[in-house]
Amino acid sequence: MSAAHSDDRTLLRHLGQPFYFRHTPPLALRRGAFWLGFLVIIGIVLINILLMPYPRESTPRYLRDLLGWGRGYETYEAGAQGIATQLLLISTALSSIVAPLYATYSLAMERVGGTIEFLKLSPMSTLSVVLGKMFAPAYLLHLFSGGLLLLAAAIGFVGGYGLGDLSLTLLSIACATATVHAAGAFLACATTAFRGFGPVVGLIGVGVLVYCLPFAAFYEASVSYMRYLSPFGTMDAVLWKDSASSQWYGRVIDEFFGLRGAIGPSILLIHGTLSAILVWAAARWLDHPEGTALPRKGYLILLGLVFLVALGTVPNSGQRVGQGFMNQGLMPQAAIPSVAGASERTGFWGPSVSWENAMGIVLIAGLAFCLFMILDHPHRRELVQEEFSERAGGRETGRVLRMGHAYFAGTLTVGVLAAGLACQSFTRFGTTPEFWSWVLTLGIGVWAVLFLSLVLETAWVRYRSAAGRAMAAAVMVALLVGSLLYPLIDWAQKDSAFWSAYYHKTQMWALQANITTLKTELAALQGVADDTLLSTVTLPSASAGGNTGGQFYNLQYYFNRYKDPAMANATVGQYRMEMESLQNNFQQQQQYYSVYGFGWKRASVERYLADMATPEAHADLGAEMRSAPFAVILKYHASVLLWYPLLPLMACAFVIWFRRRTYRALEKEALEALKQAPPPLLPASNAAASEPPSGAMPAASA
Amino acid sequence: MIACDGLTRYYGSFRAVDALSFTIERGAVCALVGPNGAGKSTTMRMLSTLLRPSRGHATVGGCDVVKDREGVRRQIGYLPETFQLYEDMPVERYLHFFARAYGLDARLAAERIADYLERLGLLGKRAEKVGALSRGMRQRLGVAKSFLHDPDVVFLDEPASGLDPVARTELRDFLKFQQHLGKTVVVSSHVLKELADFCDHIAIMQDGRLVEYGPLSGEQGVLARYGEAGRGGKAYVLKLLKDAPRAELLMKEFPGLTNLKRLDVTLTFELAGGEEAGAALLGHLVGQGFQVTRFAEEEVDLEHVYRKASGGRGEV
Repeated sequence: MSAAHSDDRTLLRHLGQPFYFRHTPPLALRRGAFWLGFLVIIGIVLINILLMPYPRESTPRYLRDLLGWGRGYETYEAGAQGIATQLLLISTALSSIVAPLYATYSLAMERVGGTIEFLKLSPMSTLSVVLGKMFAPAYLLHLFSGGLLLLAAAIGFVGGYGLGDLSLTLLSIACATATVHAAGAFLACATTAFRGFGPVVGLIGVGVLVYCLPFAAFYEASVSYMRYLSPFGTMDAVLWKDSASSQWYGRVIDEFFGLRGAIGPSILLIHGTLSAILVWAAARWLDHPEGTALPRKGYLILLGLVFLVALGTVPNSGQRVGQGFMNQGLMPQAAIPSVAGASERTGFWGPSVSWENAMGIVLIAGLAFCLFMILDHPHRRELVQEEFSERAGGRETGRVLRMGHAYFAGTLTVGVLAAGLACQSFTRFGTTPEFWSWVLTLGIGVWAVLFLSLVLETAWVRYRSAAGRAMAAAVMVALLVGSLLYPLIDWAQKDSAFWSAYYHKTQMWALQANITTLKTELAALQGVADDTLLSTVTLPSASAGGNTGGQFYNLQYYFNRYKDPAMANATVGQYRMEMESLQNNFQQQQQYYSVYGFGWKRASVERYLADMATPEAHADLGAEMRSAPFAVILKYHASVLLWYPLLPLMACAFVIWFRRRTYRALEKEALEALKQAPPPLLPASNAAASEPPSGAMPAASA
Repeated sequence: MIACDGLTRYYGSFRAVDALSFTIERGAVCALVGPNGAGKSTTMRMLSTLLRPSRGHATVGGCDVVKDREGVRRQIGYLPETFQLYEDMPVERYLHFFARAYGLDARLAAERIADYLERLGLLGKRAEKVGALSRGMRQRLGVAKSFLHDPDVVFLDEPASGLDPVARTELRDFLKFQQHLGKTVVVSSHVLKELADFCDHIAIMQDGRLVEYGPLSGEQGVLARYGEAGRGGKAYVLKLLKDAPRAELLMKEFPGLTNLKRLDVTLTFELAGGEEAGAALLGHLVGQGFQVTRFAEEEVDLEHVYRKASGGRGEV
C-alpha cells in the first residue's frame, strides 16, 4: 500500500473530494451564465436605486417619470429593504431550487452511466460520495448564491432589518437548501427512471410541496408554523411584515419545548433530521440496492422526531403570554429565553397547536411512516427464496426477515397509536362512549396497518407479474376492508333503524297529543255558554301589574271571540278541520309505515317500536340509547357480539393462511432448486492432487 | 492475501456462486477461467465489495469484504468486464480525478500517471477526451485507473477484451511488470493461452463452483497433472491418410488405450505405458497397412486443462 494515501477519514476531508469536476456545464456556458447573472443583479440594483425617493427636480426622478415607473420608495430604508428582499429571493431560488435539481441530475446520471461504481470502489465512504455529489456539482452556483446572500444581508442591514431577522432568514435558506438537496440525493439513489430525469421530476414535485407550504399555512392558522419549512415562507413572516399573511396572523413566533423564536428549534430539528435521514437512506441504497432505505432504528428516529415536534409544539396554545400552558406550573417560565424584538412586537405565543392537533400529527405521521416502511421493504420473491436457500444451507442467523418486518410494522403502529392515546389522555373525554370510540379507532388502526403489511408482502412475494400482485393485493385488501365495513355498515343500519323508529314514534305521539288537545278544546267550546265564558274571564287592569299590553289584547280577542256565538261556532269549525287534517295525517303515516315504511330496516324498526308503546317507554328508550347505544343495540341484536369480531378475524385468518401457504410454497421451491443442483464437479482424487504447494486449499464444494 | 471460505451468492433461488473456498498468496497471479455464467464476475464483485455475499466470508488483505469495505477498497483495484468512463473528461484529467479520489499526493499522482500513460500507450492521447477514445484505448485507460493508486490486489475482469493483438501484448507486459512489483492479480479471460504466459495459478469455475485450483507449473502443477491426464496416461494425436473408421475399431482393442475419439481422419486418445506403448501402437498400425501422416503427443495447455477439468461441458 502506498504511503501517499491519507488515513484522515473525517467528513471534511471527504467533502473536499473533487466531485465538482463532474457533470459541470462547459466552461463557456459557465462563464456566460455567470456574467448574465452578474448583469441581472446589477440591473436589479440599478432599477431599485432609480426608485429611491429623490427630490422632485432631480435627474433620477426625471428618468423615472419618463419611464413611467410611478412613485418609487417612500424612504431610502424601504428602498434598501426592497433590494435586499429581491436579492434574497434570487439567491434562494438559485441555491434551493436550481442547484439541487442540477445535483440530483448529476447523481442520477452517475448511476445511469454506471460510473458511480468506480466512485464506490474508492476508499471513501458511500456517505461521503453522496455528500460530495449533493453539493459539489453546482458549487459555482452555491458560491454565487452565497455571495448574493451576503450582499443582500448587508444591504438589508443598512435598510433597517435587524440582525436577528436577517440571520434567521439566512439560516432558514441554508436549512431548506440542505433538505431539498438531501431529498434530491435520496430520489437519485432510489430510481434512475427515464434515464435520470425521473428523480429530477420527483424533486420538482417535492419542491412544489415544500414551497407551497406557506400557502397552506396562510389558510390554516393551526399549521402556520409550517411556513418556516420554506425559505419563502420565512421571508414572508420575518422580513415582509406588511404582507397579507403577516397582517392576518401577526408575527408568528414558533415555540418548541419552551424555546421560541421566529424560526424555532422545531423547524431546525425537522430540517436537520430530515436531511440526515435522507442522506443516510441514499447512501444505504447505493451500498445495498436490495435492502431497505433505512434500518429499523432509522424509522424509530423518524418516529421520535414526530413525537418531539408534536409534543414540543403543543404548548403553543395560542393564548396570550401569561395565560398559556407553560404558565400553569408545568414548565418553568424562566426556561423561556426571549428573542430580541419578537415577543414585544406580538404579545402572542404564536400559532395555535392544540393537543388534538399534536395528536393528529403523531397519528398521521406515524401511520405514514409505517406505510412508507412497509412499501420501502423489498418485497421480492427472489429475496425470500434467497433467504430460504440460505437457511437450508445452514446459515445460523436463519430467520425470515419478511416475517419480522411485517410484525415490526404492526408493533410500531401500536406504539404510535398508544402514544396518541397518551396525548389524548391529557384532554378530558366528554363521555364514556367518546373514550370507547377512541379506543376502537386505535384498535382498527393497528389492525389495518398490521394486515395491510401482511397483505402487501404476501401479494408481492407470491406472484411474479405486476398484474398478479396488484390483483392479489386488491382482492385481499377488499376482503379485509369488507370484513371491517360489514360491522360498520351493520352498526350504522341498526343505529339508523333505532332512530327511525324513535322519530316515527315521536311524530306519532306528537300528532296524538295534538289531536287529544284539539278534541278537549272542541268539547269545551261546544258546551260553553257565552255568559259562562264571560264569567270565567277577568280582565285585570294594566296598573295591577303582571299583564302586558299584548296579553291584554289576547285576552280581549278571545273574550270577543267566545262572546260572539257566531265566532265561537267558526272556531269550532276550524278546530274540527284541523283535527280531521291531523287524523288524516296520522292515518297516512300509519299507512305509509305499514306499506312502505323503513324498507330494509323494517325488521329492526319493528323490534324497537314494540318497546315504544307508551310515550314514557319511548322517552326512556331514547334516553337509554343516547347514553349507551351499544347496550341498547346488543339487547335487540345479540348477534353483533358474534359477527362483529368474527368477520375481521376470519379475514385475518384467511390472510395468514394464504401467507403461510405462500411462504411454504416458496420454501419448497427453494429446497427443490437446491436438490436439483448438480453434484460437486471437483472429483475427490483431483481435489487431493490439486492442493497447491503454498498451503492454499482447493475448492471444497458444498 | 485473498481468502474465501464458503463464499456463496444467490440470485433468488439461483446459486450463482456456491461455497467458494480458496486462498491466494501475496504476489500470485491467478487466472480465473470458466464459461459464461460460471460465477467469475460475481466472485470478483463480491471480493471487491460491490456485491454482498449471501453466505460465507472473504477477506482481502486481512479486511473482511462485508465488515470493512473501506479497508478492502484501499487495497484493491478493480476493472469490471463492462464499465463506463466520464466521457467529457480529458484522459489525463480523468486519471487525476481518481488519483485525488484515492487521496494520492499530487506530485506522486502526476509522476505515476505519466508513467502509466507511457506504459499503456496512452501518452499521445493524454489531452483527448475519454469519449473520443476507441474501445481498446478505453480498456487501457481502465487498466491504468485500476493500478493508479498502487493497490496490493487487482481484479481484472476480461481486461483483454476489445484489444488488438499488439495491445494484448502490451497489456501482458504491463501485467508482468506489475507481477514483478509483487502485486496480487486475479484476472479472468477467455484467451487462455495468453493467461498461461503470466499466470502462476489457475482457478476453474463452473456452475458457480470451483472445479480446479492450483499452481500452473511444477511437479504438482496443474499442467503436469493434466499432462499425464491423471487417468489414462499420455494424450496422443494420430492422423491417417484414410481408413480412419477401421483404425478406430482396431485401436479400441489395444491394451491401455482409453478416451478414444475420432474426428474425420484424426484420432485422439490416451495411452498408458509410456513411450514404449506409443511405439508399439504405431508399429501395430503401420503393420496393419495404415498410412500414418502424424503421430504425436498432444500439447498440454490451459485449454486442455480447462476442458479436462470441466468434463468438456464448458465452452470458454
